[in-house]
Amino acid sequence: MERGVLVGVVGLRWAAWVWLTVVALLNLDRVHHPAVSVAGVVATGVVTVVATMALRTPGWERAMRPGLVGAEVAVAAAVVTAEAWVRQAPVSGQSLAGTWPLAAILVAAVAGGLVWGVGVGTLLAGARIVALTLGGSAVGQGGRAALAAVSTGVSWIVIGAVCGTIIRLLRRAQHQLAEAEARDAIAHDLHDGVLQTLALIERRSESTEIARLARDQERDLRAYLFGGRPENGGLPAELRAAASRLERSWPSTTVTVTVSVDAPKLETAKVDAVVGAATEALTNAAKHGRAHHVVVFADIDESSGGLFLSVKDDGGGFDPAAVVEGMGMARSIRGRIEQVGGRVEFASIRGDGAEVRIAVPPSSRRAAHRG
Amino acid sequence: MADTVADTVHTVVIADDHPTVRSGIRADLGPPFVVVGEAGDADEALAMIATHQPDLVVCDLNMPGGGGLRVVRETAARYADRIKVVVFTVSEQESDLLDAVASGAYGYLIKSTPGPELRRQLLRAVDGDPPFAPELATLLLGEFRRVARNATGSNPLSDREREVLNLVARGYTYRQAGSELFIAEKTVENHVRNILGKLHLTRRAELIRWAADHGIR
Repeated sequence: MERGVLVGVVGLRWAAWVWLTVVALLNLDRVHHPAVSVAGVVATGVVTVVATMALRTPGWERAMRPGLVGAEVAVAAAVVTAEAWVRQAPVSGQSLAGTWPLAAILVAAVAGGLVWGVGVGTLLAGARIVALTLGGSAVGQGGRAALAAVSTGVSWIVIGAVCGTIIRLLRRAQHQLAEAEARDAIAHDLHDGVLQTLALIERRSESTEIARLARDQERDLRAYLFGGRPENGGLPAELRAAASRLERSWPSTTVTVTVSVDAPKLETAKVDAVVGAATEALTNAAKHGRAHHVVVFADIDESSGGLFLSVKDDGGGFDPAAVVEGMGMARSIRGRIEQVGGRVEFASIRGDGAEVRIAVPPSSRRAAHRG
Repeated sequence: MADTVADTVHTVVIADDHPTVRSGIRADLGPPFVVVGEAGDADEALAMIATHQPDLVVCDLNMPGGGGLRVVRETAARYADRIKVVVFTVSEQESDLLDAVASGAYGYLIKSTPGPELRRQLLRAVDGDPPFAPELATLLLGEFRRVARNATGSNPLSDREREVLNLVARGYTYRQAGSELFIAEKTVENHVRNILGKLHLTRRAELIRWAADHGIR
């Protein structure tokens, strides 16, 4: 990634150098010290060539060594400062150095991030203002020139800061990408290994205890490998944990948790309410419904943009009058959900089983987003 | 009694590179299924399918010799629904499911499915009822929404198909979904088949568009 940026900067250097050379040569007869002008052209040319060559070798990272960056910054500062000495009078509004100093700022930002970017930007901005003062144009007709110098200086500092920050963000993104790739590689290997074995144990084990253990392990492993979709917040992990807890207490009941990618992210209070309600619905299915299998399903509620959650079992049906800790099951679920502004529906399914349907409105920020 | 069992025998080829998994599936199936062959890689599986012409193939995805997808693709191309390939894998990855269905898999089951449930699902499969777990219905809901957002702007599924998919994702059996929607169970099965067919089409259309966008012919 750094190399890509540096290659871009090489392009900038060549363009800036050509510009600088043309301007310098055209103005040779109008400056005090043509020799210094030519020296500047040569020095910047050397830097351009060296920087270009450096990137073509395998050890291109050397282009970011402090020594080389320092040399480039020194040349840039010298060119900016020498300008005042070389010029008799402002040749025009245009600076002789042109965009040349930008390359030094960018390279410093790539090599040293925000601090170097801002540092070099400030240094060159200072040099520019010193040059203006030495040139004496701050006196008399120099008002506009001073303003131009200051604004150029400020823009250099800003460019150093922005470039340094972007580089840091890019590095972080690159790091995360590498981590995700490593995880994918592990996932691929585990697919045929550990997951395979766990699935086999789950299916073949005579002992429900061992089968349940394997199932727990599989769930954890999957959560690590494929889970963690940040857009859903903590809900999927919490629902899976609730499912595992239920399977531990009720070994004859299995729970499938599926969360759609579109399920909205909710604030903690709502997640807690939903997970609490789901836990009670699961307990009811196992305890009163004697269900073998329960499906917990979470998705976006397309009409409101909020969450839709369903807990559906294949048991003997819901018993809304069942009392848990002094409160009716249905009332307890309803209470939790209504507290966060949601709605609950209990349904008996023809044939067998029951379903608890829960709708929770989106978080206010999301609602504001949509409105 | 013996006669009725003989009448309803369903021949099966099991393809998986792990012998333990193969013997596990064999033990779970039992009559009326008869395992006529076990294959450890894609080539072996395709050869066995050609020899035995089974009713059903239970096929892993990660296998040597081009993987299960090759078995799915070539079997579907040659025999259509006469030989049904049900993918049986540890992968709950969206892309694996979509690729398998797009290649012509008749159904998709997860390896942690308990033995009796596997048997039940495979019996449904030979009856013409694509085995299709809630996890997968959930994935498909998301996939079709994504297609709607990205490509056409309109959901390729009809309202009724969306309702069916939603109920299956919530764990409804086809029979329960039918009575919930006041339609016959057979109609629900047809909807599921159509949904899978549409996934196949949109997946292919997307691939073609992608190829065109990237200058591949």
